[in-house]
Amino acid sequence: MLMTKNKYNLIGNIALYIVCLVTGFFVGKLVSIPGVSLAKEINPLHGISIFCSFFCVIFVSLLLDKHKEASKGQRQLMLNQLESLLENVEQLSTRLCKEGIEFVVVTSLLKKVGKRATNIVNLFKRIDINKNDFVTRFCPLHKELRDLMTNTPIVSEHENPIQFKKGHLVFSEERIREIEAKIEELKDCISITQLETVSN
Amino acid sequence: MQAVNRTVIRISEAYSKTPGPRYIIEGPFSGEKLRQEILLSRIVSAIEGNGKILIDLDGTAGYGTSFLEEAFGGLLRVNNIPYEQLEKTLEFKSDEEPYLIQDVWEYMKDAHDKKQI
Repeated sequence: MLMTKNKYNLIGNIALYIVCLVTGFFVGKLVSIPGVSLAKEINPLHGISIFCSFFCVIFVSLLLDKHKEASKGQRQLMLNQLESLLENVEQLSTRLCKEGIEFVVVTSLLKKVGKRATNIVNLFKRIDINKNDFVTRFCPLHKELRDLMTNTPIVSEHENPIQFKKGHLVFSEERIREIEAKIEELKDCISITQLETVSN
Repeated sequence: MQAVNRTVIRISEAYSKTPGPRYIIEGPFSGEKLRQEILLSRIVSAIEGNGKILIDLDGTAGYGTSFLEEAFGGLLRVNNIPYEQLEKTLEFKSDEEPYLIQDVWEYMKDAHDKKQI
Protein backbone atom coordinates (compact mmCIF):
# COMPACT_ATOMS: atom_id res chain seq x y z
CA MET A 1 0.00 0.00 0.00
CA LEU A 2 2.79 2.40 1.06
CA MET A 3 4.91 1.27 -1.91
CA THR A 4 2.07 2.04 -4.36
CA LYS A 5 1.54 5.45 -2.76
CA ASN A 6 5.26 6.24 -3.05
CA LYS A 7 5.26 5.09 -6.68
CA TYR A 8 2.35 7.42 -7.51
CA ASN A 9 4.11 10.30 -5.72
CA LEU A 10 7.28 9.71 -7.74
CA ILE A 11 5.39 9.55 -11.06
CA GLY A 12 3.45 12.71 -10.09
CA ASN A 13 6.67 14.57 -9.29
CA ILE A 14 8.35 13.56 -12.54
CA ALA A 15 5.24 14.54 -14.55
CA LEU A 16 5.22 17.93 -12.79
CA TYR A 17 8.88 18.55 -13.71
CA ILE A 18 8.24 17.63 -17.34
CA VAL A 19 5.16 19.92 -17.50
CA CYS A 20 7.22 22.80 -16.01
CA LEU A 21 10.03 22.19 -18.51
CA VAL A 22 7.69 22.09 -21.53
CA THR A 23 5.79 25.18 -20.29
CA GLY A 24 9.08 27.03 -19.83
CA PHE A 25 10.12 26.08 -23.38
CA PHE A 26 6.91 27.38 -24.95
CA VAL A 27 6.82 30.53 -22.79
CA GLY A 28 10.36 31.21 -23.98
CA LYS A 29 9.15 30.88 -27.59
CA LEU A 30 6.15 33.16 -27.08
CA VAL A 31 7.58 35.96 -24.99
CA SER A 32 9.28 38.67 -26.93
CA ILE A 33 10.41 41.69 -24.98
CA PRO A 34 11.58 44.69 -27.05
CA GLY A 35 15.32 45.19 -26.74
CA VAL A 36 15.83 41.69 -25.39
CA SER A 37 17.02 39.06 -27.80
CA LEU A 38 17.66 35.43 -27.11
CA ALA A 39 20.80 33.76 -28.35
CA LYS A 40 20.02 31.13 -30.95
CA GLU A 41 22.93 28.98 -29.89
CA ILE A 42 23.74 27.80 -26.45
CA ASN A 43 27.16 27.26 -24.96
CA PRO A 44 27.48 23.50 -24.31
CA LEU A 45 28.93 24.17 -20.85
CA HIS A 46 25.89 26.27 -19.94
CA GLY A 47 23.66 23.50 -21.23
CA ILE A 48 25.40 20.94 -19.07
CA SER A 49 25.14 23.32 -16.11
CA ILE A 50 21.36 23.69 -16.66
CA PHE A 51 20.88 19.92 -16.82
CA CYS A 52 23.00 19.38 -13.69
CA SER A 53 20.99 21.98 -11.75
CA PHE A 54 17.78 20.40 -12.99
CA PHE A 55 18.74 16.91 -11.83
CA CYS A 56 20.10 18.25 -8.53
CA VAL A 57 16.71 19.85 -7.83
CA ILE A 58 14.94 16.56 -8.60
CA PHE A 59 17.37 14.56 -6.49
CA VAL A 60 17.16 16.89 -3.47
CA SER A 61 13.37 17.06 -3.57
CA LEU A 62 13.10 13.24 -3.80
CA LEU A 63 15.52 12.87 -0.90
CA LEU A 64 13.54 15.30 1.23
CA ASP A 65 10.30 13.52 0.33
CA LYS A 66 11.76 10.17 1.34
CA HIS A 67 13.00 11.55 4.66
CA LYS A 68 9.63 13.16 5.33
CA GLU A 69 7.79 9.90 4.59
CA ALA A 70 10.11 7.89 6.87
CA SER A 71 9.75 10.35 9.72
CA LYS A 72 5.95 10.38 9.28
CA GLY A 73 5.90 6.56 9.41
CA GLN A 74 8.02 6.52 12.58
CA ARG A 75 5.76 9.04 14.28
CA GLN A 76 2.68 7.01 13.32
CA LEU A 77 4.28 3.85 14.74
CA MET A 78 5.00 5.62 18.03
CA LEU A 79 1.47 7.01 18.18
CA ASN A 80 0.05 3.50 17.67
CA GLN A 81 2.24 2.15 20.47
CA LEU A 82 1.21 4.99 22.79
CA GLU A 83 -2.45 4.36 21.95
CA SER A 84 -2.06 0.68 22.90
CA LEU A 85 -0.35 1.70 26.14
CA LEU A 86 -3.25 4.00 26.93
CA GLU A 87 -5.67 1.10 26.32
CA ASN A 88 -3.65 -1.12 28.69
CA VAL A 89 -3.75 1.56 31.40
CA GLU A 90 -7.49 2.04 30.86
CA GLN A 91 -8.02 -1.72 31.30
CA LEU A 92 -6.58 -1.37 34.81
CA SER A 93 -8.98 1.43 35.51
CA THR A 94 -12.06 -0.45 34.29
CA ARG A 95 -11.24 -3.61 36.29
CA LEU A 96 -10.84 -1.65 39.53
CA CYS A 97 -13.88 -1.97 41.82
CA LYS A 98 -14.85 -2.25 45.48
CA GLU A 99 -15.66 -5.97 45.19
CA GLY A 100 -12.04 -6.76 44.39
CA ILE A 101 -9.95 -7.86 41.47
CA GLU A 102 -8.15 -11.15 40.90
CA PHE A 103 -4.49 -10.88 41.94
CA VAL A 104 -3.19 -12.54 38.75
CA VAL A 105 -5.22 -10.09 36.66
CA VAL A 106 -3.60 -7.14 38.45
CA THR A 107 -0.05 -8.43 38.06
CA SER A 108 -0.54 -9.45 34.43
CA LEU A 109 -2.10 -6.09 33.49
CA LEU A 110 0.73 -4.25 35.25
CA LYS A 111 3.22 -6.42 33.39
CA LYS A 112 1.48 -5.66 30.09
CA VAL A 113 1.78 -1.92 30.80
CA GLY A 114 5.44 -2.33 31.81
CA LYS A 115 6.34 -4.36 28.73
CA ARG A 116 4.60 -1.93 26.39
CA ALA A 117 6.34 1.03 28.06
CA THR A 118 9.72 -0.73 27.76
CA ASN A 119 9.02 -1.31 24.08
CA ILE A 120 8.15 2.37 23.60
CA VAL A 121 11.35 3.47 25.36
CA ASN A 122 13.38 1.19 23.06
CA LEU A 123 11.62 2.57 19.96
CA PHE A 124 12.19 6.15 21.10
CA LYS A 125 15.88 5.32 21.51
CA ARG A 126 16.05 3.96 17.95
CA ILE A 127 14.36 6.94 16.31
CA ASP A 128 15.92 9.42 18.72
CA ILE A 129 12.76 11.36 19.59
CA ASN A 130 11.55 12.28 23.03
CA LYS A 131 13.25 9.31 24.76
CA ASN A 132 14.35 10.95 28.01
CA ASP A 133 11.08 12.78 28.66
CA PHE A 134 9.02 9.58 28.46
CA VAL A 135 11.41 7.59 30.66
CA THR A 136 11.63 10.27 33.36
CA ARG A 137 7.89 10.92 33.39
CA PHE A 138 6.29 7.51 32.85
CA CYS A 139 8.57 5.06 34.65
CA PRO A 140 8.31 6.57 38.18
CA LEU A 141 4.51 6.80 37.84
CA HIS A 142 4.33 3.16 36.74
CA LYS A 143 6.44 2.13 39.74
CA GLU A 144 4.18 4.10 42.11
CA LEU A 145 1.10 2.45 40.60
CA ARG A 146 2.63 -1.03 41.00
CA ASP A 147 3.41 -0.24 44.66
CA LEU A 148 -0.12 1.05 45.26
CA MET A 149 -1.81 -1.94 43.62
CA THR A 150 0.38 -4.71 45.03
CA ASN A 151 1.00 -3.30 48.47
CA THR A 152 4.51 -2.06 49.00
CA PRO A 153 5.95 -0.97 51.42
CA ILE A 154 4.92 -3.20 54.33
CA VAL A 155 2.22 -1.76 56.58
CA SER A 156 0.83 -3.09 59.84
CA GLU A 157 -2.09 -5.48 59.43
CA HIS A 158 -4.77 -3.27 61.04
CA GLU A 159 -4.08 -0.37 58.71
CA ASN A 160 -3.52 -2.49 55.60
CA PRO A 161 -5.36 -0.87 52.66
CA ILE A 162 -5.36 -4.14 50.71
CA GLN A 163 -6.92 -7.43 51.83
CA PHE A 164 -6.45 -10.79 50.15
CA LYS A 165 -9.67 -12.75 49.84
CA LYS A 166 -9.64 -16.03 47.89
CA GLY A 167 -7.04 -14.91 45.38
CA HIS A 168 -8.64 -11.48 45.02
CA LEU A 169 -7.26 -8.11 46.07
CA VAL A 170 -9.82 -5.99 47.87
CA PHE A 171 -8.79 -2.35 48.12
CA SER A 172 -9.96 0.15 50.71
CA GLU A 173 -11.94 3.11 49.34
CA GLU A 174 -9.02 5.42 50.02
CA ARG A 175 -6.61 3.13 48.16
CA ILE A 176 -9.02 2.94 45.20
CA ARG A 177 -9.01 6.77 45.07
CA GLU A 178 -5.18 6.79 45.19
CA ILE A 179 -4.96 4.20 42.40
CA GLU A 180 -7.47 6.10 40.24
CA ALA A 181 -5.49 9.31 40.71
CA LYS A 182 -2.28 7.56 39.70
CA ILE A 183 -3.94 6.02 36.64
CA GLU A 184 -5.11 9.51 35.61
CA GLU A 185 -1.53 10.79 35.98
CA LEU A 186 -0.31 7.96 33.75
CA LYS A 187 -2.97 8.76 31.15
CA ASP A 188 -1.98 12.45 31.21
CA CYS A 189 1.65 11.48 30.77
CA ILE A 190 0.77 9.34 27.73
CA SER A 191 -1.34 12.15 26.22
CA ILE A 192 1.52 14.64 26.63
CA THR A 193 3.90 12.19 24.94
CA GLN A 194 1.38 11.71 22.10
CA LEU A 195 1.15 15.47 21.65
CA GLU A 196 4.93 15.87 21.65
CA THR A 197 5.30 13.03 19.15
CA VAL A 198 2.79 14.62 16.77
CA SER A 199 4.40 18.06 16.96
CA ASN A 200 8.00 16.82 16.85
CA MET B 1 41.93 -19.96 37.89
CA GLN B 2 38.98 -21.79 39.46
CA ALA B 3 35.69 -21.74 37.54
CA VAL B 4 32.82 -20.10 39.41
CA ASN B 5 29.93 -22.45 40.15
CA ARG B 6 26.83 -20.76 38.77
CA THR B 7 23.26 -21.89 39.45
CA VAL B 8 20.27 -20.61 37.51
CA ILE B 9 16.87 -20.31 39.17
CA ARG B 10 14.01 -19.66 36.75
CA ILE B 11 11.11 -18.54 38.91
CA SER B 12 8.57 -19.61 36.24
CA GLU B 13 9.94 -23.18 36.22
CA ALA B 14 11.28 -23.66 39.74
CA TYR B 15 8.37 -22.01 41.52
CA SER B 16 5.34 -20.71 39.63
CA LYS B 17 4.21 -18.99 36.46
CA THR B 18 1.75 -16.99 38.56
CA PRO B 19 3.63 -15.57 41.56
CA GLY B 20 1.28 -14.58 44.36
CA PRO B 21 1.09 -12.23 47.34
CA ARG B 22 3.63 -11.32 50.03
CA TYR B 23 2.86 -13.77 52.85
CA ILE B 24 2.00 -17.48 52.93
CA ILE B 25 -1.24 -16.77 54.82
CA GLU B 26 -2.41 -14.46 52.04
CA GLY B 27 -2.47 -17.05 49.28
CA PRO B 28 -0.53 -19.56 47.18
CA PHE B 29 2.90 -18.95 45.63
CA SER B 30 3.81 -16.14 47.97
CA GLY B 31 7.12 -14.30 48.10
CA GLU B 32 7.66 -15.57 51.64
CA LYS B 33 7.34 -19.19 50.50
CA LEU B 34 9.73 -18.67 47.58
CA ARG B 35 12.33 -17.26 49.98
CA GLN B 36 11.88 -20.02 52.55
CA GLU B 37 11.63 -23.02 50.23
CA ILE B 38 13.84 -22.15 47.29
CA LEU B 39 16.00 -19.07 47.66
CA LEU B 40 17.38 -19.32 51.18
CA SER B 41 19.01 -22.76 51.04
CA ARG B 42 20.48 -22.20 47.57
CA ILE B 43 21.81 -18.76 48.41
CA VAL B 44 23.42 -19.97 51.64
CA SER B 45 25.07 -22.87 49.73
CA ALA B 46 26.28 -20.48 47.01
CA ILE B 47 27.74 -18.09 49.59
CA GLU B 48 29.54 -20.95 51.35
CA GLY B 49 30.91 -22.31 48.08
CA ASN B 50 31.76 -18.89 46.60
CA GLY B 51 29.28 -19.60 43.83
CA LYS B 52 26.88 -17.39 41.93
CA ILE B 53 23.13 -17.58 41.44
CA LEU B 54 21.37 -16.16 38.42
CA ILE B 55 17.70 -15.51 39.08
CA ASP B 56 15.64 -15.42 35.89
CA LEU B 57 12.47 -13.39 36.39
CA ASP B 58 11.06 -13.89 32.87
CA GLY B 59 8.20 -16.17 31.87
CA THR B 60 5.69 -15.43 34.61
CA ALA B 61 2.30 -13.69 34.43
CA GLY B 62 3.77 -10.78 36.38
CA TYR B 63 5.04 -9.92 39.84
CA GLY B 64 3.52 -7.90 42.61
CA THR B 65 6.01 -5.53 44.20
CA SER B 66 5.12 -7.04 47.59
CA PHE B 67 6.12 -10.51 46.32
CA LEU B 68 9.55 -9.31 45.20
CA GLU B 69 10.08 -7.20 48.32
CA GLU B 70 9.29 -10.12 50.62
CA ALA B 71 11.29 -12.68 48.64
CA PHE B 72 14.47 -10.60 48.32
CA GLY B 73 14.21 -7.86 50.95
CA GLY B 74 13.26 -10.62 53.39
CA LEU B 75 16.65 -12.31 52.88
CA LEU B 76 18.16 -9.40 54.83
CA ARG B 77 15.24 -8.45 57.07
CA VAL B 78 14.24 -11.96 58.19
CA ASN B 79 17.17 -14.22 57.37
CA ASN B 80 19.93 -11.72 58.20
CA ILE B 81 22.04 -12.40 55.11
CA PRO B 82 24.50 -9.51 54.71
CA TYR B 83 23.87 -7.22 51.74
CA GLU B 84 27.52 -7.46 50.65
CA GLN B 85 27.23 -11.26 50.38
CA LEU B 86 24.08 -10.98 48.29
CA GLU B 87 25.77 -8.41 46.07
CA LYS B 88 28.58 -10.89 45.39
CA THR B 89 26.30 -13.89 44.93
CA LEU B 90 23.15 -12.77 43.13
CA GLU B 91 22.59 -11.82 39.52
CA PHE B 92 19.24 -11.14 37.90
CA LYS B 93 17.81 -11.48 34.43
CA SER B 94 14.61 -9.86 33.25
CA ASP B 95 14.33 -9.21 29.52
CA GLU B 96 10.57 -8.74 29.67
CA GLU B 97 10.56 -6.17 32.48
CA PRO B 98 14.15 -4.87 32.84
CA TYR B 99 13.12 -2.35 35.53
CA LEU B 100 12.44 -5.26 37.95
CA ILE B 101 16.18 -5.81 38.39
CA GLN B 102 16.67 -2.30 39.75
CA ASP B 103 13.55 -2.70 41.92
CA VAL B 104 14.84 -5.91 43.51
CA TRP B 105 18.23 -4.36 44.33
CA GLU B 106 16.42 -1.36 45.82
CA TYR B 107 14.33 -3.64 48.06
CA MET B 108 17.48 -5.35 49.32
CA LYS B 109 19.30 -2.02 49.80
CA ASP B 110 16.32 -0.58 51.71
CA ALA B 111 16.16 -3.64 53.96
CA HIS B 112 19.92 -3.32 54.53
CA ASP B 113 19.68 0.41 55.32
CA LYS B 114 16.80 -0.15 57.76
CA LYS B 115 18.83 -2.79 59.59
CA GLN B 116 21.67 -0.28 60.03
CA ILE B 117 19.41 2.18 61.85
